Amino acid sequence: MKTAVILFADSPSLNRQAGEINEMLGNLETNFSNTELWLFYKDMEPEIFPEIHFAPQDKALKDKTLSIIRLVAMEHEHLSESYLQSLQHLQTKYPMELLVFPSDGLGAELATRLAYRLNGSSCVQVEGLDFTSQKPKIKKPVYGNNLTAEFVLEYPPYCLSAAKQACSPANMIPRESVAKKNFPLHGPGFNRVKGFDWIKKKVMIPDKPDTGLADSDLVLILGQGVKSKETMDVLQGIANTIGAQLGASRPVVMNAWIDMNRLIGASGLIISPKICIAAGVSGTGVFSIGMKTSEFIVAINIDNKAPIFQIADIGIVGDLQDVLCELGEIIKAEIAKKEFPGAAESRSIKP
Amino acid sequence: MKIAVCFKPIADYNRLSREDWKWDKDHFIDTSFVRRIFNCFEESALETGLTLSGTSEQISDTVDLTALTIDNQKGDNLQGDLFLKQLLAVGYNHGVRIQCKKKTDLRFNPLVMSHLISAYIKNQGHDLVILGMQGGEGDNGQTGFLLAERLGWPCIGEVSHIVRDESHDSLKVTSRIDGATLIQTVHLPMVLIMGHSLDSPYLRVPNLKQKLNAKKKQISIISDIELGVDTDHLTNTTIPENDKTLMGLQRPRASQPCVFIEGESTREQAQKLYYQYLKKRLSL
Repeated sequence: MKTAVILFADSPSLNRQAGEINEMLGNLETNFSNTELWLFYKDMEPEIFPEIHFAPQDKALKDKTLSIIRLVAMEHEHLSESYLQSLQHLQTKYPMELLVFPSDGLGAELATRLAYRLNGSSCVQVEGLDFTSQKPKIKKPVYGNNLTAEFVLEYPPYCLSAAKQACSPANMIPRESVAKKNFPLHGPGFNRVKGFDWIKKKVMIPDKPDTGLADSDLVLILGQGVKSKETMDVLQGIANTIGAQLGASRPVVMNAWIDMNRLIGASGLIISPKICIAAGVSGTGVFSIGMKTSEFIVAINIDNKAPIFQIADIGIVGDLQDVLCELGEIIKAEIAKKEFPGAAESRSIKP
Repeated sequence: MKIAVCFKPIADYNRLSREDWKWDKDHFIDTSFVRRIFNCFEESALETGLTLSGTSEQISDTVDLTALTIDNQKGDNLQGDLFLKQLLAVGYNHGVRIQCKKKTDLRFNPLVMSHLISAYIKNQGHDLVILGMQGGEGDNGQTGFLLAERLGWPCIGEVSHIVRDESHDSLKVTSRIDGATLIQTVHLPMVLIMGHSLDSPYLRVPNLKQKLNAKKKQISIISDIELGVDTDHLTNTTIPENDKTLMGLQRPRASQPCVFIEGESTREQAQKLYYQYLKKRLSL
C-alpha cells in the first residue's frame, strides 16, 4: 500500500497530530510498499521531524519507517486551495493509495476536498483502519459519539483524517538523525495557486500561551451544573487550592465563564490526566470522548442517572459546590499539615 | 445579499439511555420518542444568519434569508417543518424543505446531501451558504466542504463570527485554525462552516405575535427530482454516489460499574473520596 502522511511543520500541535496518526496506523497488519511524509512548511525549512510508525512498534517490520520525506514549501499559509493544488500535483507525480491527514479542521477539509477532486473516498475522524480485506475498513464515531460505525471505503485513493484521541505525542527527531535523508524540495511550481482573490484582508491572532491543561495530572472539569459566574469563581479558587487545572464542557464555555481553550470534548481538548474530577457534567458522547481515557475519573452530579456515571470510577450524587468546597478544605488542611506539621496539629486539637 | 442556512433537526441524544441505542437490519435507530433539537453548530449558523440580516439596516443592501432542510419522511406535521415555522417566526424570509423519497438513507452520505444543496443553490442565486461544522446521525463533518467543491466556491471552516463589511459583497469572517484565530475580509460568494460561536451560540426565541404571523407563511417543498437529483437512484444503484458503505454499528464498551460514595453528610463523602481514593493518587 503506497501511503503518504500529510503534516504541517508550522502547526503548534505537530507532535500531537503525528501521535494521533501513529495511533491510527500503529496496529495495521498490512504491507506498506512505499511510505512517505509530505511535510508542508512556510519560510523556514523544518529542522526536526515527527517520527511516523506504519506498523506496531514492537514488530521488526522493515517497512515500518518512512521511505521518504518530501518537504513542500508554501507561499501562502492557511489557504486550503493552495494546499489542495499542491496535493493534486504531488499525487499526479507520486500516486498514493492512502493519504492520511491530521485531526484538525484543515486536515478534515483537505482529506474531503482532495478525495472529491481525485474521485476517491474520504472520511474524517477516523479512529481505526483495517486493510485485511480487498477494500479498506474504517471506524469512526457517529450519533454524537454515542456509537461507532464501521464503513468500507469504495474507491481509491483513500483520503482520511485522523480522529482526535488520547495519544503519546510523536518523537521529534533532528534532521541529522533521520534515516532516509532524502529531502526533495519543490520550487515555485507548487505555488502558482489560482483562485484566492476572494480574500481582501487577512489577520492572524496567535492563541494565548498553552494553559498546561492537556499535560496536567489533576483536572477539574465543570459542566452546566455550575449555575453562575460567581460559583465559577469560587470553584476556580478551589481548583487553585487543590492544584487542579480547570476544564469545562460546552455550556460553561458558551456562557463565556471560561476561555474556549479549556473546552473538553470532541471539538475541544482530548485529555487523559491521572485524576479527572467531572463536576456537574452530564456526560454526553461528544463531551466524554474528551476525558474518558483519564486514569481515574470522579463524577459529581445531582442526577444519579447522569451518563457521566457510566464512565466514572467513583461517583458522588450531590451538589457539586458543596462537595468541592468540602474537598478543598480537606486538601487545604492536608497541605498545611505537611508544610507546618506543628501548626496543623495545634489547629486540629482546637475545639 | 441572498443567504441560505442549512440545518437538520436531530434527536436529543442526551435523552436516550444506553438500552435505547438499538438498530434494525438496515442499521436504522428509532429515536422518534425523544424530542428533536437543533444541532449546536447549526443553531449558531441560523442565529448568525439573523444577525447578518439585522446589521443590513445600517448597510443599504437588504438580506434575503432562507432556512433549508432536507427530509426523507412523509406527512404533514414533519419535525423539519416545525423548525422551519420557528425560523420563519424569528425572521427567516423563506423556509425550504427538500423532499427525498421515504427511507432514502442519507445519514452517512454527505456526497448526496451536498449534491442536493448545490442543486438548490445553483437555481436560486445565493451569495452565501452557512452550514454547521458537524451534526446529524452521521457526524460526517464533510457536507460544507463538498458543497464548496460542487459550487466551485471558496469556503472557510470552524467559523466563530461573521459580520457585514462596508461593501455589500464582502464579509468579515473570524475562524479558528490550529493555534490561532484568523480574521479575514472576504468577497462573496462563499460557503461558511460554523464551529463554536460565542457571539451567537443560541437561536433567538419568537414571541407570540411572531409565532402567529409565521403560521400564515408557507413552507416551500421541492422534491429531489425537481432539483434534477434522484436520490433514490443515486443511493440504490450498483455504483451508488457514496464513497463508503456502512457495515455495522457498535456501542461503546461498557466500563466497570461506578462505585458510589455514600455518607451521612457531604463532608463525610468528601472525606471518603479524599482518604480512600485521591490521597494515594495525589502528590501534595
